[in-house]
Parts: sequence; structure tokens; C-alpha cells
Amino acid sequence: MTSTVNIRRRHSVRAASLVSLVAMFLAVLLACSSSRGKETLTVFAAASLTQSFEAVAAAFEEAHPQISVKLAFDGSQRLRVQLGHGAQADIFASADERQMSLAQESGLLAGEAVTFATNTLVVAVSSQAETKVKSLTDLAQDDVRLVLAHPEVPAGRYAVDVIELMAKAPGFGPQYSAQILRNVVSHEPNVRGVLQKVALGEADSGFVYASDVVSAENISVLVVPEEANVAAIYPVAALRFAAEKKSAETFIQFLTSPQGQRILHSHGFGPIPSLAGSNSSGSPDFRGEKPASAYLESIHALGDS
Amino acid sequence: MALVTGRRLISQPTPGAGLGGAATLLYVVFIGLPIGALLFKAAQQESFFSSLISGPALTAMRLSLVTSAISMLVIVLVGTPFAYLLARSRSPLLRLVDALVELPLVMPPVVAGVAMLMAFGRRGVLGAPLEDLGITLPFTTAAVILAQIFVASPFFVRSAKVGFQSVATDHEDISRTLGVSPWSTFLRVTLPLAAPSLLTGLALSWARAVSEFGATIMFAGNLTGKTQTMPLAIMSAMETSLDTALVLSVLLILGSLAVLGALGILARRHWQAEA
Repeated sequence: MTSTVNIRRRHSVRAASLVSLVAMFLAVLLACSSSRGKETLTVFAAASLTQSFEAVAAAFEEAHPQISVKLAFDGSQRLRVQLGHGAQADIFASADERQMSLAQESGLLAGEAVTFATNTLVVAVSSQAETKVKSLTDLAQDDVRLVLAHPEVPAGRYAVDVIELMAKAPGFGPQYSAQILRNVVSHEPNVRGVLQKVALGEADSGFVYASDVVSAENISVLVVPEEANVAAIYPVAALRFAAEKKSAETFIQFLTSPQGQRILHSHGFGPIPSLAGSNSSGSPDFRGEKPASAYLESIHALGDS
Repeated sequence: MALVTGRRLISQPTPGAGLGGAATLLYVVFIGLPIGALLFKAAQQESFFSSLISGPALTAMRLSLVTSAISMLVIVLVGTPFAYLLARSRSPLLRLVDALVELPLVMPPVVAGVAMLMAFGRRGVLGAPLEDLGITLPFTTAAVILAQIFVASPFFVRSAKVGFQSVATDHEDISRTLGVSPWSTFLRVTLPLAAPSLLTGLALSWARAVSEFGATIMFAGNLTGKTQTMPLAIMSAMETSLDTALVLSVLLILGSLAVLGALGILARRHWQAEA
């Protein structure tokens, strides 16, 4: 008699504790996926868009008070991988077309990507007095500590393109790219990491976007000549599994609107290529790999016609 | 009588038995599932073994092993006498130092990295004097080792201190009254008795050093063959392909298991030798 009671009690204790533990576990999970009151739009954006998108989001929220924008910044390649593994977001804004087309191939996008900004590369130099780097040719000197973004990061890929274009340009010489790449001391996971290492004075120089240096402190800038520069293309797209598809479209329209463009320009971004030309069907296919000069020439040509 | 009590202890339903069982199940599933899934997904790779012994994987693994071995050497050489002093001294100043030992444990690794830069970076407190000596630390393999020592040493010092405290001073006193020198007493009495704690601390400390990421990328950067240890290589591989990252992760887990297993066997031998 007593033994059955014991067993029964033991079972009930075991069951009760199991249930309570599972309940606690579920409660933690539920608490993490919090319920929303206001509509929340989640935007995954390239690290180089940090300040500009904060400003864009503030202006957007002012224009659309019912929507609150949540921003997440990192290297475009990492955001793309995260989205591929089920990260929940409504919009993806990439710093190059490669990551966007990879996202497209993985079936992550709701529709076509739209280009909303362009950018160029510059060399950020630590503004400490004793810096060795006074010109672009100095980058090839021994003992210069150069930081690049990882070659898989758009900014890192563009940087390698620019270095190779510079080696072909007059005044640098074919050895230039090998000498520069020998000076690389770190491949950072995003372009902000490059800027930070240079601003701290730990690295002498680094390749970053023109938009990165607009508000940066403790650095001076070397401008890369047009014939050696690239035109970084920034595409944006709504995501297929977006919870807020309509708001996502509204946000993308806002980005390409005069107001959105004004904010992006004030943060150092270039204009949308197709805006320069009047006929949309004949708009050229701008690739990140294309040197800026070719891209600028085609814009001028379009403007003239 | 003793037997009966012992039997009853086992067969009687203890109030925590159900809770303990449920908690164990939850814990094993929660920790085991991700690790099992990692191994399972990695084993599914067609190129699993070729990736495992590929150049980049081995370069990162070698760098991780070499840097963590040097870190452990420094930690043991400096940490052992330090922990012994902490265990034996009653000075209030050392009590304060004792409290500070655990500080790196509560610092987020990125903060540790920033702190290292502020001290040893080119613009850091010691940056200019070091540069006069021709030494620049950031972005070097030495920086990787310093970052590892900073974040991993508390594990060893803490465990070693407890180990030394558990050795009764009577043993040391007897040894000394028998005419054994203090040094010999330490090496032949105290150290063997505290060895299991030291080995446990070493294992924890090594595990922390090998998994170090945040302080390393802040202070040492990320360059293949020079500062790119396994965790940084895994992060970099994630940017390109998940497959490579998976294989690297498995390599890191297997390598860590081997080292921790070896240290565990050593510690158990010491326990058995004592018993």
C-alpha cells in the first residue's frame, strides 16, 4: 500500500517538476519574441549605412508615426548569411550588388532590388602628427600598417579592386598592388572596424567609403583618383518573409524620394545612377567592378543627350 | 545497520529526484542538441575530410595551439607563485589584489580588447615607451597571446589558489621540521597535493584562451597565419561559406576535447595517487 502511494507520489512530483521546467523554458522563449503594439519595420543594412540610415529612419518615423523602424548594421555578407538562416527582417540594404544577387539566388527577396545610393572609396589616414602616409604612393612604403575589410565584405572587395586599378594607373607602377597588400595587418569583419582602427591610431591607414569619413574624427583623407576608383552600388529590397510588406515598400520609396536622397547625400553618398538619365529603358548596367570614371562618363553622356 | 541505511537512501524517493531528472534531461538536450547538430551537419559535407586538412584550417589551428600553449606557459609560471602567495598571505593589500583577479572574468571580451589597446596600443599608456624600444604590439601574434593571458589567467589563478588553500599547512610544517628546504617542500609536498586543482584550472584557462575572440579582434586584428586564430577563422569563413565554418568548428571541438581529455586524465591520476 505505502509503496504504491510512494510511487504515485514520486511520479506526480516528477511530472509536476517536468511540467514546471518546460513551462519556464517556454516562458523564456515567449518573452524573447515580445509582442508588438506599434508596427515595427526591421531593416538589415550594410555597416557603411550606419549614420545615414539612422537619420533616414528618424525622418521616416516622423513622416509615418505608426511605424517604428528597427535598424541592424553589419557587413552585408554577414547580414545576408543571417537572413539565409532565418533571421527575421523586412528590408535588406546591401553595400554591393553581389550580396544582393546572392540573396536573390537564395530566394530571400520579395521582388526586384532597387539601387538607392552610390559610394566611392577613399583612404583614411590616422591624423597623428608622426604619420608616414602623406600620399597614395606612401601606402606602398615599408612599415605602413594598412587595414582592409575582409575580402568577402563589399568594402574589402572594392578596396582590392581599387588597389589593382591604381597599380595600372600612371605614377604607381605594377609593383604597387603587391607592395600595398603586403602592408595589410588585418582584415576587419566590416568597414566600421577599419575606420575604428585608423581613428584609434593603431593602423596608419585603411580603405573606407567616402561616406564613412564625413563625420569621422581623428582621421584625414586621401582621395583616390577617379580613374582608379570604383562606384559602389547600394541596392535595397523587401524580403520575402517580411512581416510588414507594405511598410517595407513605403520605406524603400522613401529612400529613393527627394527627401531620402537629400539625407543620403548629406552623409556623403552619391546619386542613384538612373536618376541622371531620363529614359529608364536605356539606363546602363552599373556594376560595382566598373571604375568610377566610366560610370561618371556615362552619366555625363546621359546628361548631354 | 549501515547497509540498511544506505539501501534506504537509494530506494526512498528523495524530494529532488524528479526535479533533478527533469533538469538533467533539459540540460542535456539544451547543450547536447546544438553540439550534436553541428557535428551532424558538418559530417554531411562531402568534402569534410579534405576541408579538415586544408591549408587555411591547419594554419588557424596551428596558430591557436601555439599561441594558447605560450599563454598557458606564462600563466602557469607566473600564476602558480602568485596563487600560492594569495592562498597563504593575510596581508590586506593582497586581499584587494585577490578581489581584482576576477575582474577580467566580468569584463566583456571587447572591453578587454579596448583596455589592452588603451594600455599597450600605439596611442596607449605604454605605447610611446614601447615604440622607443622598437616594439609595437597591436596586430602581432604577441598581441594574440597577451589578449589570451588577460582573459584566461583568472581561471587558473582562482583554481590554483583554492588548491593551495586546501593543502594543510601542517604538511608543509612537518616537511620543514624534517629538514627539507622550503623550495623542496613546495615542489615535493604542496605542489603534488594541489596538482588536481592546478590541472583543472589549467584546463578551464586553456579552454578560455582557445575560444578567445573579442579581445583578439580588437587588439590583434584578423590576419591569416599571424593573428587569425580558430575562432576568428570561423568568423571569417562564415562570411564566405557556412560549410567551411562548420568544418573548422568541428576541428576546434575535437582539438579541444583531446586537450581537455588529456588534462582530465592527468588530474585523475593525481587524485588516485593521493588516495
